Amino acid sequence: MLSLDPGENLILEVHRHWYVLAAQALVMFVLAIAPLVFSSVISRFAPVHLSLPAEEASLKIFFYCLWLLILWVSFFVIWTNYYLDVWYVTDKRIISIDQVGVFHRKVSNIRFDSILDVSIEMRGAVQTLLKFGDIHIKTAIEQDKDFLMKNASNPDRVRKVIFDYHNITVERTRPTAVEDDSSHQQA
Amino acid sequence: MAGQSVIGFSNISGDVFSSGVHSLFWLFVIVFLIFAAILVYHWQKYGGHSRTFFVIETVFAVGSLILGIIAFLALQSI
Repeated sequence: MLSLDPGENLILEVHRHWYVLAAQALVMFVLAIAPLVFSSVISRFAPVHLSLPAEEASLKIFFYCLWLLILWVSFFVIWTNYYLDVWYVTDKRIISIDQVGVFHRKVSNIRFDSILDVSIEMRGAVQTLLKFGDIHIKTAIEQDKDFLMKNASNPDRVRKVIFDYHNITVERTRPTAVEDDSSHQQA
Repeated sequence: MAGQSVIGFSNISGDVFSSGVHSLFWLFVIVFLIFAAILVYHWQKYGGHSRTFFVIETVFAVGSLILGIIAFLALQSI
């Protein structure tokens, strides 16, 4: 569950694009029907003595169900990683949750005043047409490492929102800096 | 004499084969339930009471139950 500070408002929730999940679901579907295709090819082209007798159909159904159950639970693990891998953009910070695996989760906070650069990368026709791509955030705190959201939906809009809030934060801190300068001059 | 029959593609007797498959099924059920519990734990912890997670939990449970019942029924006729 997302816990925000008092007075902090959620602006944007950035997930990976549905295309990523659909592509993985398609792979799962191919794996699910592969035994059926394989079995029908074997029964059509193999010599009669290699094919299974009809009374062992229940054995085939049994193992096929186990295979489907493995794929079923794998799909939900993939969905969990997809759904919980998220960036929350609030009016104070970006909360980056990187769900690497079922037991591997990284949560980072990026404050707007520490952001040096936000860049997006959209590769190929699919990403351009469906409007998704990678978002890189370079911060002053971890200069050797970018914060990365792979295959994020609508990266252009996300970049714009982050820049807008970055500018608001910079504007907010500017008068304080001027006051500091004037106090130094008076001293 | 079904229990004494010999499976067509091996020399293992029907009883031994059948008990092996039954053991495999129950082992699978245990491992599956552990995985399911881990998933549901994650959904409860990070999803809270959101509608999306409730729908996903329901779909997962119904699908697993249907496949499990079919596998169990097939197991009975092995």
